[in-house]
Amino acid sequence: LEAQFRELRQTFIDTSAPRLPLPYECETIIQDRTQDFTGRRFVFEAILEFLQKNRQGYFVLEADPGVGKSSIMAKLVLLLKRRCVAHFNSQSQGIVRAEQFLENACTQLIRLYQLNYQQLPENATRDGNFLSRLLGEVSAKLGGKKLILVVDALDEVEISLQGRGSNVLYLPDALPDNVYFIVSKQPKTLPLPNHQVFDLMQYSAESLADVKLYIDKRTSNSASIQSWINRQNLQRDQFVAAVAPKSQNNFMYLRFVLNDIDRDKYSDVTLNDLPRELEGYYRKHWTQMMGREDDPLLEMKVKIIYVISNLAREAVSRGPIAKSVGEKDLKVQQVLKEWESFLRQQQVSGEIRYSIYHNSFREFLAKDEIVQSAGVNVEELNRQGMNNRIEGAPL
Amino acid sequence: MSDLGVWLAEPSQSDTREYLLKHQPKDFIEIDRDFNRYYRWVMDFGFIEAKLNLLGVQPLIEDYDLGRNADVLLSEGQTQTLKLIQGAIRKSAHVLDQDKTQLAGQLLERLLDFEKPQIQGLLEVARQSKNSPWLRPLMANLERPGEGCLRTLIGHTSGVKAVAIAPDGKTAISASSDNTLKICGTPRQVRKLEPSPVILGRY
Repeated sequence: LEAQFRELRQTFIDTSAPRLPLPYECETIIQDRTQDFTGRRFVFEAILEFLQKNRQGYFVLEADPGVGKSSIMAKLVLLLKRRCVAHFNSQSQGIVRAEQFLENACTQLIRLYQLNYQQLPENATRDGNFLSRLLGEVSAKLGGKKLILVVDALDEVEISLQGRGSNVLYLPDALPDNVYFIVSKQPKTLPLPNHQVFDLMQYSAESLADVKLYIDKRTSNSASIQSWINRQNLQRDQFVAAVAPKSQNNFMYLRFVLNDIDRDKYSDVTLNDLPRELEGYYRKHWTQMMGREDDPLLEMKVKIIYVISNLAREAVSRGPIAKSVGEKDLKVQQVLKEWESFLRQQQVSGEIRYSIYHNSFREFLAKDEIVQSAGVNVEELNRQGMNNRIEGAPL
Repeated sequence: MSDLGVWLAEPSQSDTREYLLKHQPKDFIEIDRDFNRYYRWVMDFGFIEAKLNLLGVQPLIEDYDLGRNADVLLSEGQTQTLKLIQGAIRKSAHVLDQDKTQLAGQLLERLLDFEKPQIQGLLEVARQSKNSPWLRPLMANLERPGEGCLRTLIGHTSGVKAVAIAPDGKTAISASSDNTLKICGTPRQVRKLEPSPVILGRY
């Protein structure tokens, strides 16, 4: 695969110019999502074929949450040696608006192709017109090479903020020659230009093989997973064969469960009792938490996770979380540890900010049944949180 | 500075400041349905100044759109006042984009003639807002909100020779001696335009 991409780069991508790093948010997502990346050869082959057979166009990778769309998009950026435009939408990081995409994409284009703009014009992020114009300018300069734009998670875009009837992110209806968008989304319907769909869910045999490879790789890299397997009197291939079907080909599930085994959280859990599927994983964690009724911090823990889930139109630091739940910073820190598998942590201007790692967990928290078992009144919690944040404000 | 401006600048708000400036007006409406408080915040010079400085002019303009939503209950007078403030900021947007310290001057020059007490209150704070000597306008010399243009669009590098407005009134095309045409409007409307041979010829 490396070789195939090397050939693609040599034929179709101008690698002579130095490539500047991508924006910070992109780089952190790429780094996070390509950790332990395994397999997916069939997807990349389909992308290569698409690039070779079409003069221009949209390639849409479709799959359910947790199946690995973002990782594939991130890996693609790496395979292209960053000689592409990259944008990762993310609700938990507040990257959900079309303007953010347009600003990011236009800036990268101008830099990558040294177009003659000192700064983005004022209307550049209002709609897709300026982006279309840049694509036209680049296309004229390509001379047989190709321009590839990688855009992840279209389903997380806040489309209600866009002009009515527009394509998601104002993606242009017509693309100039040699310009390609490789994008990903969940299987829901979105306003998109003409495109070719690659439905990852149809490839269960190939995905299962990749899942097994991934489990095997993680096991090789972790002494504590190996010793867990030994303690269960299992062979490694038995372990792989048993965990793979539980995952339902969901890599998010595998990441969580294997991390937990790695960190010795399942020392008294048998293979049979490992959670089933991603939802099962969330449920199990939740039940364990709720089961400990004597936990004096339980109420606060639940509050904190709901505050993060509701507040996090973007990642938040401990300060606003603590203020919203009216607790001390240090206590909050203690609780955040309990939720750490579900939280993404990132450094922003010298402080750690937290957000929900994967949107599927936010959806899980929003289920009626879960809200009820938590005994939280979400509206009341929001109101209380807001009042705490503005306590003492003179107006 | 206003009391709210002082409060927002306090160190104890340092880790919530960005959140408050971004989301608090919306939170008043959506979480608490406290429309009066929403109104007081977006009418406060300290809030306006802090938000402009941290986030720029467009998010500020959008705060006043929230008040126009049908389920936000404000008095006729309050709605009018918000419209005037938003109008003044929008008219000043091209100046503020270049230089945020022009806020007080721009508001004074555009709003001094309006006698509404809330506007005069806001301007009084604006008058006091600078710590160093400045040329403070004593009269409203700039176009006021509600008259003339809504917003100044900059971008052409030479004189604009013609502007055509589409029949739906929502899209404008300007032609300039810098040999460019610029199209302003929402994408759906832009897409609907039938390119006429004359326009293409000029382009």
